[in-house]
Parts: sequence; C-alpha cells; structure tokens
Amino acid sequence: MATQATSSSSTVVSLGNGQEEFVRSESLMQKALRRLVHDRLTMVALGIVLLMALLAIGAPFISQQILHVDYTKAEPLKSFFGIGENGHILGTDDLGRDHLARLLYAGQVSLSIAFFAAMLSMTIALSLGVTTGYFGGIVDDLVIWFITTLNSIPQLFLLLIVSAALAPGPGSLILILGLLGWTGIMRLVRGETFSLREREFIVAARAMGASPWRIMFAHIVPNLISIVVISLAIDIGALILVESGLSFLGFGIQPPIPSWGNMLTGATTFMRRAPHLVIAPGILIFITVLCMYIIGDGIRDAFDPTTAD
Amino acid sequence: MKHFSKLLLVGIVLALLSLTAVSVLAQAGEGGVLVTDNIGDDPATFNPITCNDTVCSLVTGWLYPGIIGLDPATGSPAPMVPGNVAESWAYDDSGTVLTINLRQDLAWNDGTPITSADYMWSITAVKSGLTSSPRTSMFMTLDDGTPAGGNITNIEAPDDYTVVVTFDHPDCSSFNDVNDLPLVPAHVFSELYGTDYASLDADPLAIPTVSFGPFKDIDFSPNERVSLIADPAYPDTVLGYVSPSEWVYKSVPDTTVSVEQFLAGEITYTGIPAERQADVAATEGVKTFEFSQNGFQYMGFNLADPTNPQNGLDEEGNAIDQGHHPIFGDVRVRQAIAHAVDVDAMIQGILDGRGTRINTHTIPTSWTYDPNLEGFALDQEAALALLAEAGWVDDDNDVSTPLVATEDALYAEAGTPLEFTLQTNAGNLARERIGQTIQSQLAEIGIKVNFEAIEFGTLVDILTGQTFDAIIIGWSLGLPVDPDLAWAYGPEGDLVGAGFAFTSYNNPVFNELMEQGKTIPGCDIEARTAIYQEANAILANDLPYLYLYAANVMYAAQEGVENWDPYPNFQQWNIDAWSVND
Amino acid sequence: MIKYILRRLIQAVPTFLGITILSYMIMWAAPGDPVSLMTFDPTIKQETKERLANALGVNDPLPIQYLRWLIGDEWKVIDEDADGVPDERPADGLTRVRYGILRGDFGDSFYLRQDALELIVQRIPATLELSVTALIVSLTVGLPIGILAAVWRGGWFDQFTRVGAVVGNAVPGFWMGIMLILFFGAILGVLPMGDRGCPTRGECTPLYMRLDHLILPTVVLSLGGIAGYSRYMRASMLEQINSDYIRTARAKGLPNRLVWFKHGAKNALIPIATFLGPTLTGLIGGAVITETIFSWPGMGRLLVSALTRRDYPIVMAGVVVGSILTILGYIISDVLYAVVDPRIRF
Repeated sequence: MATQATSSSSTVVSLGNGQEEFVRSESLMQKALRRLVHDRLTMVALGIVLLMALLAIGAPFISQQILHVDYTKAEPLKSFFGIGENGHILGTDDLGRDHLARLLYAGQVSLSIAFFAAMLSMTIALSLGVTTGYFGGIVDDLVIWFITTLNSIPQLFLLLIVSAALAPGPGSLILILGLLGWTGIMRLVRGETFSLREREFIVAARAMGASPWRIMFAHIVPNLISIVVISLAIDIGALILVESGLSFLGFGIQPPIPSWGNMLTGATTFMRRAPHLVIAPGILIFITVLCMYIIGDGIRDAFDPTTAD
Repeated sequence: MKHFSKLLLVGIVLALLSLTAVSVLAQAGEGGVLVTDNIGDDPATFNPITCNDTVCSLVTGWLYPGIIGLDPATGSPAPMVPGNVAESWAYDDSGTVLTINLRQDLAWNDGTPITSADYMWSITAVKSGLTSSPRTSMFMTLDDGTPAGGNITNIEAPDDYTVVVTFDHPDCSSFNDVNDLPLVPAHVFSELYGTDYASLDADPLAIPTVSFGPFKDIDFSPNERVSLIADPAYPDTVLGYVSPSEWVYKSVPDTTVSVEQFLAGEITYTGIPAERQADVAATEGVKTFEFSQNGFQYMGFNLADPTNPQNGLDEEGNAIDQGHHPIFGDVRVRQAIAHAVDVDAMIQGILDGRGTRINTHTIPTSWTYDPNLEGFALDQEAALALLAEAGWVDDDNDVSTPLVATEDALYAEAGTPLEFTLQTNAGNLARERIGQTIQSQLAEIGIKVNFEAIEFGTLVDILTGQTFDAIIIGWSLGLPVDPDLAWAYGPEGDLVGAGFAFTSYNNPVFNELMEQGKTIPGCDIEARTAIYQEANAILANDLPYLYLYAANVMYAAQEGVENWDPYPNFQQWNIDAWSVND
Repeated sequence: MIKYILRRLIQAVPTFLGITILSYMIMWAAPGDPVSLMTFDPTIKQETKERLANALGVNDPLPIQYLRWLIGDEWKVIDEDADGVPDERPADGLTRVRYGILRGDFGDSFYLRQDALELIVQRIPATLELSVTALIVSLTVGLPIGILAAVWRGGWFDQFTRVGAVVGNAVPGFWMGIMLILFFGAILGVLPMGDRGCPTRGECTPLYMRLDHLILPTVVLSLGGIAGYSRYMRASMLEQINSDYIRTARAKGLPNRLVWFKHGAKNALIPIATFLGPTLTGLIGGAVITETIFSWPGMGRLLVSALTRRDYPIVMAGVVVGSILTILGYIISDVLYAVVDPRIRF
C-alpha cells in the first residue's frame, strides 16, 4: 500500500548524502513558495499580519515621534474623547490616554504572547510527539502519564498559582500558555507518527539501516509539516483569543500593561458610552486571528506535495 | 424616537388616569413578581444563625425578625420598626445592663406568638460554640470556656417579652452586637435540632416552614435563582397586606449583562455599578435613586518594615518594634503624596462626578463627620518641598527618573530610588482606574509606582500578611454607623495574618481618644462627636491611608414599580407595598 | 486489545495518585487562605477565625490533611453507634467523620458546607445541556464543511467556508456573547438574554421547551468547534483524496463522489478521532466564560468561584472527577484510533 508520502521521500532513501537532501528540500521549498505567492488571499493575510507586527514593534517610535503622546499618562478629565477629538486619532480611553498609542503597545504584548507561546508549545509537541510516536513503549507511557497528569489539573488553577508566584506579566503568561498548550497537538503528531512508522518507505529506510533519529527527522517530520504549520497558525490566533478570555476572567495580563484582550474587557463596560473603545481592539483581534487561520490554510496547501499547480 | 416619546406620553397619561383605579384594585399578592439580581454568588445557607454572606442575609431577612430594627429614614436603631420586635430598651446606670422589651402583638405564620425564647434560641446556639456562625465574636466567652473576644457576658430572658443583655464593661460600640442574631421560631428549631447545635450545619439548605416576614417558602436553584412567595399572614405591612406575589433573586454574574437585562425590563429593580450610572440615569422608562455610599475607597500605606512583619503588641500587651517602611515610615512622604494626587479629577473622570471626596475615615453621612476638616490641596510644589524636607531629591535633573534618598532620609538608605509597589484586586474596574491614575500622577513628581492588579485571595494574603508597600481597597461601613476605629488603626488590631490594622499605624493620642469615645458615660452623642472628630483630624494629618472618595450608589427600578420609595441604604424597606404593572 | 486496555487501566492508578498528591501540594502552595477570605470582615474577631480554621481542619499538618482527604479519619474518631457523628468532638474540631475520597467521600465545601461531590454532580445536567449541544452542532456542521471544502477545493465553497467558518471564531467568546445578547436580546428582543429558561419556582421544564435559551450560548460555544473541525477535516480529507489508493480507485472507474465519501471521508476521520476523547472530557469541565455571560448554572462557574474562595474540597473534587474522566478519555481515544485504523496493532 503506497501512501502520499512516497513521492516526497523516495529520493532520499539512499541517505548519507547531505547535498542530495538539501537540493530536494530546496526544491520543495521553492515550489511551496511559488504556490504561496500565487495564493492572493494568503498573501494579503500575511501582509496584514506583518503590518500589525511592524506597527507593534514600532509602537515607541510612532507614539513618541508621530503621535507625540505618552501612552501611560492618565488624565481622567480627558477621558472618552471621540475619534479625532483634540488630536487623538482614535480618541482617548476611560482614563484619558491616547487610544491609538495604547493599541500599538497592546499589540506588542498580545502578538508576542501568542507567537512565543505558540512556538514554545509547538517545539515541545513536535519533539515529544515524534519521539513517543516512533519509539512507543516506556517513553510513550511516561509522556502520556505526564500529559494526563498535566491535563487533569485545572488550567485556571495553574494560572492562578503562576500569577501569584511570578508577577503577572507577559513573560509568565508566555511560559504558562506555552507549557500548558502543547498536549493536543502532541497527541496529533504522535498519532500521525504511529501510522507513518508502519508505512513502507519508513520500513524500507529502517531495513537499510537508517538510524531512528535520521528516520524521524528526514522522513517523519517532513510529513508532519502540514499538521504542524496549520496548528501553529491556528494556535497563534487561538492564543490571542485565550489571552483576552483570561483577561475577562481576571487571570490574564492586568492593567496598567495594555493588551488587546484587557482593553476589550475594560471597554465592554463603556460599550454604550464610547463604542469606539470596543470596536478598535475588537477589530484588531478579529483581523489578526482571521489572518492567522487563513495563513495556516494557505501554507498547508502550498506545502502539500500533491497539489496540482 | 419621536414615536417613542409620544407613546410614552400617552402611557403616562393613561397611567395617571388609571392610578386611582389601580390602587383600589391592587390586593394582597396581586402586585406582580419582583425580580432583582446579584452577581452570581449562591447563598451558603438558609439558616439565619449560621448565615455569613450577603445573599443569605437578604433572603433570611425576609423570613426572620431582628430584635432591634433600624429606622430606614435615619439608619439608626429605633423601637417599633416594622419587621423587628423591640418595643423599647434602656440601659441601667452602670451602662452595662441593657433591658429590651419586646412587642407582644407578633406571631409566627403558624400562629405561635413571637417571644424572647425565639431570640434566646439563636443566642444559646451560637454561644454553645458548636455552630459555624462567625457571630461568636459578640460574646466574651463561649459555653466551653474559650474566649471569643466580645463584650457581652450574658443574655437572658426573665419573661416572655423581656431580654436582658449584660456587658463586661461599658462600650458604646457594643450595642450593635445585640442585633447580630435574628429571632428564630424556637418551637420549630428545638424540634428540628434539639440541643445538638452542631447539626445546624449538617443540612445548611434546610428551610423551616415557619417564618415571619413579607415572603416565605424558599425555592432555590443553585447559580440560577432564589424565589420566595408572598406571605399573607405577615402583619407588619405598610398597606395592610403584602402586595407583590413573588420575589425572585436571579443570579446574573456579568454586570454588563445585568444592566442590559434591567434596561430591557427583565429585572424589576437592581443596583447599578458606578461605570453604568450615567447610562442608566439617561435612560427613559426607568427611575433611579442615588446616594453616597456607606463606605469609601482609599490607598493604604504600610508604615512598618514590610520585610519583617510584626504584631503591634506582644502577649503581655507591650508594643513591639515593627521597624519603619523606608518610604512611608515618614509622614512627610505620605503628605507629599496627598498633595500630588488629584482626587477631584478622579471623581470627575472616573465617577462622572458621582462621588464625594473624603479627607479622613468618616463619610459625610456619618454623625461624626466634620465638614470643616480640610484635606491636602493639590499642589505639586508643596509635595516636592515636603519630599525634599524628608530627604528625597532629584539627583539628575531628569523628571522621568525617580527621586533618590539622601543622607537626610529617615528610614531609607542614601541612594534608594523613590519607588514602590501599589496593588489592588483584579476585576475591580474602579480601583484599577484609580491605581493607574495615581501611578501617572505620582510619576509627575518623580515617584515611581509599580502598579499591579492581582487576584483577590492573593491580595488578602499580602494585605493581612503586611508585606505590601501600598494597596488600594475600600471599606464598607456597617449600619448603624459605628465611629470606633480601633480595629483599623489600633495596635490590638495589628496582627500579622489576621488583623485589619495592617498599616501598623500606632498613635498613643489617637488610641486614647478611641478608648474615651467608647467608654464615655451614657454614650453622650455630642461628647462622642467631639472626640471622634478630633481623632479623625489626627488621621487626616497623619494619613495612614490616603483617603479618596465615597462613590455614589444607584438603585434603579422600572417606571412601572409603584410605591418604590427607597432611602439611602434601605432600598427595600417597604417592599411589601410595591406593585409592578406590566 | 483487552490486554492493552487492562494495561492502561493499571497504569492509571499511579497516575491518579500522582495527580492527587501533586494537586494537593500545588493547592496549598498557592497564596490565599480560605479562612481569611471567609472572614474578611473587621467585626469578626481573631478567636472566631481560629475556631473556624480548626473546624475546617485547615490547621492540621499537610500530610494529615491529605490522608484524611484520601482515606478518611474514622480510625481516629470514636463513633460507636456509627451514625457518622463523632461521639465526642474530635480535637481538630471537625464535625463529622470522614471516609476519604477512595470511598467516595469528598468532604464538605468550606463555604457552601454541602458535600463537595454532590455540588459538582448537581451542576452536570446544566453543563451537559450546553456542551453536548455545542459538540453536536460543531460536528454536524464542521465535518461536512471540511469534507465538501476538500472535495470542491479551490472553488467558491472552499473559499467561502475557508473565511466564513472562522469569521465567527475570530473574536473573543465573551465579546461575542455580550454582542449577541445586546443585539438579539436587548435591541431586537427576539431571544432571551441568558439563563436556562427554567420557571422561577419548581422543577425545570424539559429541554425541548426552552430551546430558545440554548441558541445564543450554543452559537458562541460551537463556533470554535466548527472552525476547528472543518479545518482539520479539510486538511485530513485532502490527504486522502490525493492518496494513491483513492487515485487507483478513481482510475478503475469508480465515480468520484462514491470513492471520496465512502473511503476518503472514513479514513480522513481517523486523525479527528484522536481529538474526541479529550473533547468529551473537556465538556464536563464546562465553559466558564460562556456560563458567566449567559448566567448558565454550570460546573465551570462552580469551580472558578471555588478557586477564588480557596474552597479546597470543591476544587479537589473537581480535579479528581476531571482527572478520572481525562484518563478514561485518553484510553477511549487510543482504542478508537486502533479500531478505525487497522494498521495499528497493540
């Protein structure tokens, strides 16, 4: 029984030749990139996300040099300015701080939490998933034991402890979300590895004396690319939502550090009085998450070796 | 919108026309269903003796009479308050024996007369020390001999309509303790529990069928609602009958949703959070009642060394050296902060002007309030001058960096930056806004504030553990107003991990005034007022807290609720007269 | 297979014990103290707090508390008539004999004072009402969307669902919930603004009589599922469609649709099956945010309020029930995996 993976792996069964492999993956990459460039929807999404990231990184410069505002300066008497009022492009928030500048700084916080936490959990998920799926046995049992234990303790509880032990901030939230979020994808990777290792091309590689690590990295991981990339993109999007949900429950990033989530939570109370305070962070979250989903899909399609051009 | 106001006009005219007819037609139990809401907490019990949360106090308040009622118009204890049993009371000459005479015309809804035995049942149960009731704090010792910290040595009932309370020593604040426990139908409770008072906790949601109040018959669904129906047997009504047919206490955990439900008419009456008061006040079709809260918000300073928290007194009652906070140990720094924080701007910007600034631990509605007491004016120059005097200077002429301590600083090492942590409980929007405003305002004079909103349980640990620098919380003051403040500023209350005098403020003059205030013979109001005003003036200058404001509380009801006549803090005093017209 | 399940069940025992010890330790390491939270009131004196702490048993050394919680304490309490009430009040002030969780006694809630397990069980119907409906909706909508999007890959349906399925899922749940309540409840007035729709007194009516109350919370809860399942299903289905055996089948002349739906979809479901176990157990935990916004009396709200009050018996009962379900969920999902994928042998 042949599988879809054969086509991408048959050329490297010979092994030992790094050059050969490099050439192959290069061409796969080029092919994927070419496809990606032609996928307009994905490119637009990618562009938007990059723009968001740029704006967030440039927040200090933009707010000081262009907007000339201090995003931390609370002046309650200047609160709830509307859009464009008194030179505030997006108005002011409930404490009279420039809303646009705060959105930019909040972008720094929200995007970096989502990105780094997703990367952290993906790294753990991929390495553990492939290892346990390939070797099975005692390693598998141990990891599954660990996952079960971890998943059985309410996550809110762990968050509570962490937010008490560490000062509640972006760093601790990245750590906790990253360390808690990998189990689902890890099981997916493990399951996929389970079935991959029984396939003919892997059996063949093993028969030819390839080391387990070589098989894992050269044959199994490339076949997991689609799962990993989709998961990563969706994860980043989902983590932005998780962060805002935690803010709502009082366990997320707390003021005065702005995040899109806590800005939205705080503004919901003033929904009727200052709708612009709710709309702006809402739109930013919406667009970013949507783009991440689209990018996930687009990259998956691009990397799919069997896609007809 | 035009159509709407026209409709409204027609509606008002029709309502006016039918007003006479309605008041004739309204009868017992025909006033409709009253729906109100809470933030989603469940009552822990329906037993009035062990009850210790706001939901169960409200519910059991409908079912069991208190001994001495508060007059809704004044908030002070008064005889003959409907729903309460005291007819009159008097102290003896020593000021330690209080005799209360009970009304003789009241009966439980099964016809059994209400007597002193009903009060004694609650008292005996709690004094046994076998229940989980926190009200043991009213007694000096419990039946098992353990000290409980209160002032009441004995309560007895010489006859069916007299209760005699004996206090250990005269204390003007102890009068309120008498009201800590309600009356329960002794004939029913004896049958249910006998003298096994521990069994009161065995089935906390058990509801005795006999009660005395406008409503009866609890129907409870966890996290959904508590419902009671009108009790036609209740005699103490305003109109001569109980008008509403049912009272429903809905659980609506999200305040935004709660306000929207009220505006949509799904809730008959409710309290409106500060952030939404302006919205609701501007809405047609609802009526509102606004008054200054019986409490206030403040920023508390830790005056003692936060790295080594100590009790105020040792076991022999001698003062313990608690060290000094490097920043707040010096009163001039606290005064400088008071000069630098713009409380009026906070009231305008955060509360839309719906609040009253306070300068000390007394709110304007209290009888000990001194309208002539001046606070610290907003004055950054004065603040900087005070800081310089206290040894904190700007060493690098850069306003964006904090001031640093010089050799002149009392308790800080030279070179220490003027920087501290300010904490409050996450989820309280008003306090989060106060904190960020203070942070921003103090930055202007070179004080760096690290503001954190943290989870409430964690905050309580830090607060009572006295490891904080500064903290923003609030007190809600009880009713009737008790001006005694020893619990908040006296060394006896300064217990690490337990007490509420967590600032470690200790001023012998102030302590002496507190002692005088509660032991003054006859509890003469004028003499006590003078004493407490003097004490409050000391606090206003010493600033163990930076006193901020008393926010406004708003009650709101649908336009169609008739006879809705709230007093401050007493929204539902005449609920048996209300009716809703849909 | 049976041997495998047995092996997993036996392995679960140390897992379970590990979870209980670990959570017990974490819980006590966490800041916050139930007694100070219950008595955060200046009128309550220090003596009363001590008394309360003794009665709750929180002053005992941690190992004693753990053992009492795990195996009970009737071996050190005199109770000759065996009525569950100690003949003499034990020194630690506990008012009743404990039998330990191993015999189904989870202790009484500190705050609500009722049996902790009972409190959790009480919430299960409401939680299941909401979460099972949401799961059914996300599967019945999400999976077909995923299959069809893969089949018509690149077509308008694919493009439309690719964006459409995630649009609703790209805003935070609490925000979505409040907006739906505002629009359909406050402005249009066509749907209820929360709660289960039970009458204000008496037993709750059957679910089919109050479906309107389910609509908005189900929408909020299932949007995530629809987006997730449709995306994973599409990816999984595409792999199948492009696999050699499907191509062979098509080359042999079998009609496209038959091959895709009969063979492709079936195999594409395999990776999805791994989600199902954890998803099923996740349902029991409830949906805290949705329950809060929609005033739904479910388990999530109980657990969060227990956490914030440091009501340890409820929290620990939640951990134990949750961990048992999680362990079972994983075993079921691994077994399911073996059943649907004949290549896997244990």
